[in-house]
This record gives sequence, structure tokens and C-alpha cells, in this order.
Amino acid sequence: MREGARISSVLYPRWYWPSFAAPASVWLVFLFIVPFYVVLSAAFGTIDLFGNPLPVYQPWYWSTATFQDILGRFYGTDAFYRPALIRTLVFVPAASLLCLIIGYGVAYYVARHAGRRKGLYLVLLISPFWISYLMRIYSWQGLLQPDGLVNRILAWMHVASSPVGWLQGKPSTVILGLVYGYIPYMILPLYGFLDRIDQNLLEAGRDLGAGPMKTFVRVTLPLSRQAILAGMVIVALPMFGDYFTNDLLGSTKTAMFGNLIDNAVQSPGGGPQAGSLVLMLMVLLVVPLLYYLRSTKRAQEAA
Amino acid sequence: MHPGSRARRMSRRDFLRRSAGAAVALPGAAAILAACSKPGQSTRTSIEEQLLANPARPDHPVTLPLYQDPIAASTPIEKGATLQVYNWEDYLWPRLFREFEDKFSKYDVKVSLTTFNNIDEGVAKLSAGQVSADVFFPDPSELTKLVVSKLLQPLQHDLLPNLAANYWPEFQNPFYDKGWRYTVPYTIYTTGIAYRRDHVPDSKIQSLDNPYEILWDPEYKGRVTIYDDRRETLSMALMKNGIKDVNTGDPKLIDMAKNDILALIDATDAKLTINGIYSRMAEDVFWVGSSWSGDVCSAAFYYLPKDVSPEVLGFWYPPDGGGVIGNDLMVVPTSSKNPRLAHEFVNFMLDTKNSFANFTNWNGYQPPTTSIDPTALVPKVVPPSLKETVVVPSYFDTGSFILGVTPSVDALYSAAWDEIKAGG
Amino acid sequence: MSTASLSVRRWWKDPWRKPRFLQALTWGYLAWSLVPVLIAVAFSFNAGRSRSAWQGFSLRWWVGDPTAAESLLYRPELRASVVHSVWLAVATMLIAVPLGTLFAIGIDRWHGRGPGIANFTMLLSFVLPEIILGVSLFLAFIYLLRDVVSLGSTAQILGLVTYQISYPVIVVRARLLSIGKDYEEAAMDLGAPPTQSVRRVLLPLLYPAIFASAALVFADTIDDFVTVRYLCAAASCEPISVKVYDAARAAPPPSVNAAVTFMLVATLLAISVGFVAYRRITKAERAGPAGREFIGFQV
Repeated sequence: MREGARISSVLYPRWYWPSFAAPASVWLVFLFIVPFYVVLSAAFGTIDLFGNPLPVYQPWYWSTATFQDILGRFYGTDAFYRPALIRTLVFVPAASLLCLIIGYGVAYYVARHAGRRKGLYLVLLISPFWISYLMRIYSWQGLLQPDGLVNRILAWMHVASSPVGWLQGKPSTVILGLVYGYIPYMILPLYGFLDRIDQNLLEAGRDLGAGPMKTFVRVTLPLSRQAILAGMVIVALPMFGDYFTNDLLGSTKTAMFGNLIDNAVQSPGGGPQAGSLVLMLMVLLVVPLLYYLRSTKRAQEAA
Repeated sequence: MHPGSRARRMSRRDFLRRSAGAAVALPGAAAILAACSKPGQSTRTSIEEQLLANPARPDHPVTLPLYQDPIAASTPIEKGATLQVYNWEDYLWPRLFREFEDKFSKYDVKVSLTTFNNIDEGVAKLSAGQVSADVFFPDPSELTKLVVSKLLQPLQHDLLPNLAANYWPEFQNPFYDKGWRYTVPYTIYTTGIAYRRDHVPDSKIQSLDNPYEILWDPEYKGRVTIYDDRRETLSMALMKNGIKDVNTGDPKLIDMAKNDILALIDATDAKLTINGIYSRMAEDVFWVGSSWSGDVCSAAFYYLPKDVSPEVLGFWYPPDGGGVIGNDLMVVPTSSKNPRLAHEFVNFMLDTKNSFANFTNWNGYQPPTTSIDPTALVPKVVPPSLKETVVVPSYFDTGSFILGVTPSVDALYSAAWDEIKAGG
Repeated sequence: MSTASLSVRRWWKDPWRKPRFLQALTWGYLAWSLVPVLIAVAFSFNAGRSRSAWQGFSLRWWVGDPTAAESLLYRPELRASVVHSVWLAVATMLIAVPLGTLFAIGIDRWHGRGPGIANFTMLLSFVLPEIILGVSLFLAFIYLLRDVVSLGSTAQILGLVTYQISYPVIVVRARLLSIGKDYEEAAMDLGAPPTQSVRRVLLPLLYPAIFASAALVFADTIDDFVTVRYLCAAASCEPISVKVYDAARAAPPPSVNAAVTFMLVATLLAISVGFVAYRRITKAERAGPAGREFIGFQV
């Protein structure tokens, strides 16, 4: 690291490396940061005759009326947004945990025990990335229809006598749908890490008399903490804004926070509401993100 | 050179650069200055405020104000144009687009369809400038708002000869747009209850005191659908409670309607759809649902599997004609790039041959033309089990239109709908 | 103790046993992950209108009756949206991958305050739910940038690049970390100026990562519907993903199955062609001893 610093300062002008990062940074400023300001302006702005938002760009004209109204829908007497928030706070951790448990098992198997077939497994694991999320959930829709394959198999196994309404707002369907959609993002980072674990560490554990289970719990698991955290962040954070899984596999009874935003954008007069909700979601998510960044930095410094 | 003199003498390059910079910055500065004034100031005249505060009703007809003249009848037809039609999904027979293109092939015309899911979405996107359309298909509920916001242009009736003679007397001077300044009628329809007679016997519906309640029946859990349309679904709940004024501003009534819909969803896991009736009831997915008259006809005409008789579908509408009634309109927005061609298209759709073909071959919605005798539709066009779908002129006296309301009442309906969509 | 339980206990204690449970889990997962897609592909050949009840084999949804206008071939709006999807994906890939790669290289080498903030922003754009980005860009394009960029294909591409730009950054950075600075330092010791050492030494080393991120961006953009749905309402800029989404919420006929199968095959072909092309281009480098390092890139 010190060598690199020396070379950088001696042979490259000071603006050299920043100029590489400049185009993307400028892009992000104009198309990522600035739109957030527009969101603020819309959330604290007004609406026109049709209910389209009229953003107010000067902070001194901002009115918090809509924002307070929305907050009231979460904790007031008639808090009809609260169920959606609670559902999201239950679905996302549940789905993330399932992703972790299943994903870790699969990643572990492929990383450590796949042997000659590792390439094949890898291709199969990567395939969801290019199969398209929509197609995968769409396929499940077909299977979960009242006369679909799942119900037919259940009937054939005599488990369910009448067709089960999987697509009628069942939380389990939505949670499993979330897992189905996001689990590839958990498996790959975990695989990447488990693949590179130093075999010596594991053998040391075995030499000291620990069985496979103990080695796993005492050696592998603690080492994978950072990878697990990364996987959880990559999976859980986007899940908070997910609305399409519920749209396709659930109903209004299982509406999530993302559905609140999507409905607000589509409805007349919903612009400021959408802005306020997006604001709330960002505030909710920035905290775990900062925690993740700090722990990554600490892990890097320790390494 | 002396530093002072250098500072005073600007080189030509400097001057050019600075003036160019100013020229680029000026529009930006103007925009900023414009943005600096206090926003949301209303610039509406008192007439407009009047119109918005007193929306059109059958007993209170409205003449919409004119802001510009209609296009001259002598305007030439635009060449090489693509006509943008902005409509509900599956509402206009695609073959009619091809026939229109063929008819005007010497002008090298193309027709392109953009769709919206429900009227709120359609109006919102048009008013936000997200969609630019040549012909738009709204209903009267948002008409005043559209006109007052100068989003629609008045029609040039010299270009619409098909309108004059062919339409019902009730439409010669509609109460929501006296003189047909901005609109022409497209279809008429009622909102009733559609059901599959092989799962829900006729007798069951007839025996109920309040047939609307069949939608709340837990026996059909998972088999019920209602419309993903704010006003339509809340109106149905109001009707179920015997409230004929579906444009009521009474917060208690709106609240009651909202709670009823939440109870409906709870009891039956009802799905909010727009095409649930015509496509999925035909596929035996839904057995009962709130339905527009045209949707169930469309299911019978087009979507049923080949070996299933249309008699499997049934439709109920209050026998006294006191249910929800509506009609859809054709309008030309001000943002239209091809107004002359738009008029030609409207005229084309007003031709009774085309509107009848649209009705019987595609969308099942009756056009209010005098050439169609409602009593003769059954059984030649409409199967006997669906005879209630036929709309007769007397319904316009007994039925209730979904119409515009004041902004504050509109907000009440929106809040109620938000709660329904949020899962309660 | 019976023989059965003895053997079970022996199996449990053996430290080198085959992990049957994990193996079953993995195969179960792969089946759960991929079989539904194969079934959906199969149903695109269904003779009836259902996508859950098999009614016989037919090509009607692919190349069916022209007058019925229900097949993929004869529904011009489906074809148009497929073309639009590919166009969006290619344009996004061509913009996002270079920007992201340069950013990754710059961040990796830059020392100072700047990289922390830029890095945080990039990470933010990666993990924030897409709906946040979609809503903010929608509001920005409608209101602030109304006269500069109107909604449509341009807005869609701008939005997609913003969403995808973090993918190349992450993939390239991972590769940079494993490459290290040795090769560049060697080049500079041999007298190469900075630009040359980056262009001639670093970039070729990064080709696997650049290619992988291009494939990811391409596939991800074809699939994207959250951002593009908000950024364009008209039929002319509706990509196939939005059409599938709208149809899936309604009652999709199997021609939608046909459309997604087509996209699946197209993406697979595109990635395979790209991979083969990549192998050929880098053949010369792979021939020598130094080139053996690049075989089999890892995502």
C-alpha cells in the first residue's frame, strides 16, 4: 500500500486518478443526487388541480402538511398504512433469513464438495441472473394458479383436498416469492468467500479434534461474518422497496411498503405522498447501510 | 503591458466566451426566477372556480368554456402522421385501426395505441404531460377539470357529420357538455354483477334482497373480482347500501363505503382487476364480480373457450334501472399533433357500421346509436342470459352517473381508496 | 444396537463423509430455481389459452394465424417492445460499463477524501431499492428537467445507466483487488508513461471483469421494469419487461410465455456469442505462459 502511494504521488499528477472517477461521479450527481432533491421538493410541495405534484424548490416555501399527513397514516388513530409497514418489517427479515439459510447451504456445498462438477453448478447458479426475474416469478404464477401444477401435485399426494388459493394474499406465498427472487444475490457472495477459505484453517481445526459440525461452527462461521453481512445487505435492502413480488403473487391484503409508494405514484394527488414515502424509506435504510460500511471498513483495516 | 490596460482590454475570444456563457445561463436564470415566485398560486377565473365548485349533474347541465376556436374545417389532413390513440386496454377493435389506415393510406397514416389501466391513471398521465395523444377516451367525471386546465380542444363539428343524425336524443345535448363542444359519445354501459351460472344459480341472485351482497358472500372465497378503479368500486359499495347518489360528498357515507369494501376483501379475498371479468371469468377463474355490461358481453363474444356456451354467463342489474350507468367519450387533447386526422378518426368511429362492429366483434359495449334497436339485440347479438346488459334510454333517467366532484370531496375518495389499496 | 443404527452412527462420525443433506439441498434448490422456468417455456407451446392446464402442443403462440393476431410473430406491439428492450440494453451497456470501469480504476488508486464519498454514493446506488431511484428520476424528469429531457427512450436510458452503473464498479473493483499493482509498477519501471501502462497493461488484465459486467448489465437491463415503467408511458417506448409485467397482473395468454422464452434464448445467445468472441480476441494472450492466468474468469 505504501509503495503504491509513493508511485502515485511521484509519477502520476494529482488529478490523474480522480479524473477517472470524474465522469461517473458527475453522472451520479446529476442523475442520482439532484433527483433526491426533487423528491424533497415534491414531498414538501403542493399539488395541482389533477393532483399532480408541484415541486417547490425553495426550502423556505416548503410545507410539511403532506408529510405530517403521511406520518399520521402510520401512527395516528386511523393508521391504515401501519399494517403495510409492519408486514414489510416482518416479511423482509423472514425472507432474508431464509435466503441466508438456504443460500449458505447451497454455497457451502458447491464451494467445498462439488468436486469435478463445480463448473456445472456454477453455471446453474449464475443462470437466474440472466433468466430475468420477471420470467421466474411469472413461471411461479402459472404454477400457483388454482388449476396449476402445485395444486395438482398436492391433490395427487392427498395433502390438500380442495385447491389452495396460493395467489390470494397469502403471506407465505409472498415471502417465498421474495426468497425465490433474491436468493441468487445471497449465494454468489457467499460462494465467492467460501471458495477462498484457506483449507489450512479448516484442517487445523480438524487436527485439533473438532468434528465437522464443530469446525463449521467454530471456524467457518465466524470467518464468514463479513460475507454474510454483505449478502444480507445486498438482499434485504432492495427487498424493502419490493412491490412487484406482492403485485404478482399476492394481493392488497399483503401490501408492502413498496406497494404504498407505487400506489401513490399511480394515483392522482399522490406525488407528494410518494415523495414523503420515498423519503421515509431512505431514512429507514441509510442507517443499516452506514453500519455495514463501517463494519466493512473495520474488517478491511483488520485484514 | 501595463496590468491595468490589460484588464480593460478584453480580447475578442474572451468576449465571445463570456457572452456565450451568459446566453446559455439566461434561460436557466429565467427558469430559476420563475421558480422563485411562490408556487401553487391559482390563476383561475371566477367562471372556472364556479364550474369546479358546482360540477355538472343531470339536473344542472353545464356549458364548458371555450379557450380557443376549433380547428378550421379546411385544415388539410396531416401526411405521414402517426395517430396516437390513448385508450383503455382492449377497448377498441385492432382491425378498425387497420381499416382506418387503409382508408387514409394515401396520406400514409399509421395508428399507434397507448393504454391506461383506469381513468385516474389516464387523466393523470395526460395532465402531467407524460403522454401526448391525438384521441383520448375519458368519461365525464374528469371532463370539467380537463377543460378548465386547457387540456382539451373544442371539436369542429363540420368534420364530424356522422354525429348529428345517428345518436340517441339523450345525447343531443348532454348535461356534462352542452352543445357537444368537446366530446362525442363512444359507448354506454351499466355497472352490475356478472356471474357464472354454472357455479352461481340464477335463483340464488334473484332470491337475495340485496343482490349486491353476493359479492360479500364467503362461499365464493377466492372467486370474486371487483374493479381496480377508485370511483367505480366505491360507487358499487354506496349502491349496495342503497345510496343512489354516487357522487356524494358526505364523509360518513364514503367511510361506510370504504369499510364495506375492506370487509369484502377480507371475506372473499377479492382481487382488484380491470380485465378480470372479460378474460378471467371466461376462463372460469372468477365466478362472480362487479362488472361493466360490456365486459361480460365481451367475455361471451370473444374470450370463452370454443366449446363453452355463452349461456354460462349471467348479468344482474337493478330491475328498476337504478344502478350505476355511464358513458365513455372521445375527445381531442390540445397536445394533439394531428388534430385534423384526429377528427377523421373520431368521425370514423362515429360511423354506425364501425361502432357496431366494435361492439359485436370486440368490446361488447353498446354504442348509443339510433340504428341499434335495444329490444332486437337479444337473442341475435346478445345471448338471452345476458339480456340485462342491454342499455335502454330510460336508464338515463333512473340510473346514476359517476361524475366530477369538488377537489375536497375528491380528496376524500382518494384517501378512502389509498386505505383500501394499503390493505387496511 | 441394530446394524442400521450402527451404520448411521458411523456415517455421522465420519469427518470425510459425503454431505448428503447439503447435496439434497443444493439439488432441491436448483430444481426449485430452474424447473418453473422450463415449465413456462413449455407452456408457450400450449394449444389452449391456459398457462396452467396443458391442452396439447401447438405453435399458435409463436407463428400462429395472422388474422387472429395472437401470436408473437403477428403482434407487432410485442415485436416492437422486444426490439426496444434490446436497444435499451445495448445502449445502457455501452454507457454504463466504460463509466463504471473508469470509476473503479480511479477509486482504487485515488488517495484522499474524495474516494470515500464517491464510493459511498456508488454503494448507495447499488443497494437502494430501485423504486426509490425510479420515483426520484420520474419526478426529476417531469418537473425539473422537463425542457431538457422529456420522458421517453432517452430518459429510460439515463435512468437505466444510473441504476446499472454500480455493477461494473463492483465487479471491476473485485478484480482490481486481486490483480494488485505489480504489473503496472513493472511497466513503469520499464519506462512506460502512466496512460500507456493503464491502457496496455491494466485494461487487458481487466477484460474478464469488463466482459462479465457487460453481460450482467445487459441481462439486468432487459429484465428491468421498475425504472423504465415510470420513465415512459407511451407504447413506443414500452420494453418487453413492462409488457410482461402488465400482462402478468392480468390474464396473460401464452404468447407472453412465447415472448419471454424468446428473450431468454436471445439473452443466452448474446452472452454465448460474446463469450466466444472474447475467447477468440484474447486467444493470443492466453497462448503464452502469462496468459494461463486469465483462463476461466470468475464472477
